[in-house]
Amino acid sequence: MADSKHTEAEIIQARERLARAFTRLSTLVAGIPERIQTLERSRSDANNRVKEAQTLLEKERAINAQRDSLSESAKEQLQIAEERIRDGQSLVSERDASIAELHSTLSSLEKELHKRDMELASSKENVLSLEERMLGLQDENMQIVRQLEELREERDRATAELQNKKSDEDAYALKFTRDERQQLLKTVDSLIQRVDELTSPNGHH
Amino acid sequence: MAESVKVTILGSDYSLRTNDESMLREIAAELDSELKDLQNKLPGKSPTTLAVLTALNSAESLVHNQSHELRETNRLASEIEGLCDELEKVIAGK
Repeated sequence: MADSKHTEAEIIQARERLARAFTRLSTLVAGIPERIQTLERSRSDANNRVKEAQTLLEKERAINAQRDSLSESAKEQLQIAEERIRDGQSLVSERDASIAELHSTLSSLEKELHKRDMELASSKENVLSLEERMLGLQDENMQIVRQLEELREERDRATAELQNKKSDEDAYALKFTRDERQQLLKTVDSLIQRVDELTSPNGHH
Repeated sequence: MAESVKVTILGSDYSLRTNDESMLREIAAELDSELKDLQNKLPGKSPTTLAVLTALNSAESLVHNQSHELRETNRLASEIEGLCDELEKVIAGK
């Protein structure tokens, strides 16, 4: 009998526990519709956000596609630019070689110019020397001209003297011996020859 | 409002007061059926013996049912409490 009462008490406790659990469950279940509405709103918001995200993703994909296209175009442009750079580098190398060759030529020309400068200096010295020499020759020529003038005067005097001598000879043909006349003729011939030498083009010294 | 209901059990009439006549008649019919079954199985036994044996069977069934009710009630309470815990977790996890 005691066990039966104890069991009944346990059953009562279990029922109370079950009642509390039902109450708790009822409270929770009562809040479920509101919670479901909240979740529905959240799901709707989430769906909207997902749609917005999908829209943004589509835009991003389109932008990425454009970027890819631009990137491809840029790559092609870059390749063209690289080819131009290579061509330019080749030209630069050729120009460098030409410049080096020009440098070499310029160096050679500078040496040649230096050599010509030296020769010019030497030529100037020679010119000065020749000018000095020419001045000396001019002086000498003046002296020779003066001597020629003197010789002409002497020749004129000798010619006049010869004329006089000849007049005298004609007048006094008998006063000169044969040897004296030959000597006078030799003297005159010698004077004429000397004058001819001085007046000829090859006669200048 | 309790009322007096007349039932017949193992050939004897009993006037009983009850608030639920249909349930009382159902119980009386069940008891009468059990007594008659036992009387058929144990012919010659006195009605008192048959009543005691039927009472023992009913007591055994009551104890068994109480134990079963206790287990099931606790199990159901545990399941509901677990369900409440899960619901609270779900709700808290907003």
